[in-house]
Amino acid sequence: MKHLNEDDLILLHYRENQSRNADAHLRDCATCRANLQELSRVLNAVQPPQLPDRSQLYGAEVWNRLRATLPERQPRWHQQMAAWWRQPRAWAAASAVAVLVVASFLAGHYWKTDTTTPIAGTPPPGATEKGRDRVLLVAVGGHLERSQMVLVELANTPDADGVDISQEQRRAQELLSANRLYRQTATEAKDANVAAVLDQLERLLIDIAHRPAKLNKADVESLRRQIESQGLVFKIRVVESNVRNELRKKSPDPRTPAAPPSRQTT
Amino acid sequence: MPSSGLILEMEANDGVAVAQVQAGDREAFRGLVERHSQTIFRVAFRMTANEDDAEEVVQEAFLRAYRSISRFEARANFGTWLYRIAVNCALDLLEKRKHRQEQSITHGDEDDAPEIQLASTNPGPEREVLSSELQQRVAVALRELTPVERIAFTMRHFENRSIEEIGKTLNVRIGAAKNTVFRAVKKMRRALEPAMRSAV
Repeated sequence: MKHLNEDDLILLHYRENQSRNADAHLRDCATCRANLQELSRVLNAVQPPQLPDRSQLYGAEVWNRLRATLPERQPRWHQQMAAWWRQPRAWAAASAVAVLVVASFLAGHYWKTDTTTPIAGTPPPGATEKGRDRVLLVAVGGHLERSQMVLVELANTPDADGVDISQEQRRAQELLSANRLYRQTATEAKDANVAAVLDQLERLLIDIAHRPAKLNKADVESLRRQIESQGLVFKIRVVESNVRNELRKKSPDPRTPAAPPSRQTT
Repeated sequence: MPSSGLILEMEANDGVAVAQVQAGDREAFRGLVERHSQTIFRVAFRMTANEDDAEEVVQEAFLRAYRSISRFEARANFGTWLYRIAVNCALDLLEKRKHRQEQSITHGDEDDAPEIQLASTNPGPEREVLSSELQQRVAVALRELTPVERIAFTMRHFENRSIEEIGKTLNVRIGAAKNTVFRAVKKMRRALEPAMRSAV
């Protein structure tokens, strides 16, 4: 019988050995078991040196020593952009810009008239319209999905005192401005159904944003009832589903050539 | 041990701070230093067994991290990246010390040998079991290892890092990392076994 060598035993001691043969051999071989035990006895006696105490302020002390030695950095442009994107206020600003862009798409989508005459040599208007509609639908779909997530999370909040909803409130606040623009656009476009759902959502978002950040058990229950009684989550799902269907229809099928351009009018 | 939620929060905070530093905000580095100093000190002390050397490693590790932070990729874990930098700083310091020590021995100046700090004389229940002689032998045996063996042994034995991770940290193949751990363990064993036999 070939016994395990010292390297095998070291791997076994540190549980790095993946070999089933070594495990099986160890089960059957008393000599190797004794050798492993002896190695482990020695290694277990090797303890790390006791760490000198460092106070809670140690990090600040290190920083104070380090600070003067740090050179100024010249960031690359993409790193500046990345840092900006990671700041919460950047998201709010970007959302606002996105909302304005989408709102203008919406306005164009609803108010456009079929008065343009194609000019020879220019790209067919349908191509850009399709692109615009897609962007619009993606944005509206995303907004509805995010809103739905906030409502579902709140509806599933456990019954308890002192429940913290500050995160959901912050998200509700961020969704509000976007929702307002979408609702106004839908109203102006005379899309009563969508406008009604967005109006209902807006009132609920305002209510969530203005509640105290910590809810007691009764508040949690009342908020849940409010969300459920209006059936708002279901309505949002329906609208969102319609938007997604519309989006699918507008997505070009990669297996077929692009359809001839056609200008959609309302 | 921090909870997984706390770890995720730390990672998120690290990500924001790293991006800010990359964008030129030097002050944002403060958060990273404050969050990771204790861990890096622990690693550095375990590797150098000397408080002043450990402080030097901490300082150097953060400085190197700051200088090369533009190469840090956002999807990586800052703590892991910094840990690897600190290990390599410790390795550099040990090699520098070893080189200086060899030179001083050649020139007959033995006072320049680095001081090894033994475990605290303030005994806890487990430490009472270990004789002070054995502790001294452990310290001496660690000192007898080559710098790379000492780093590999510390990572595997004290820090519970896998051989694969040791290889990645030291930028060597897994086979080389494995052999370094083997050599270190065997040396430690040869140094300690006689004392342990006599203690039995």
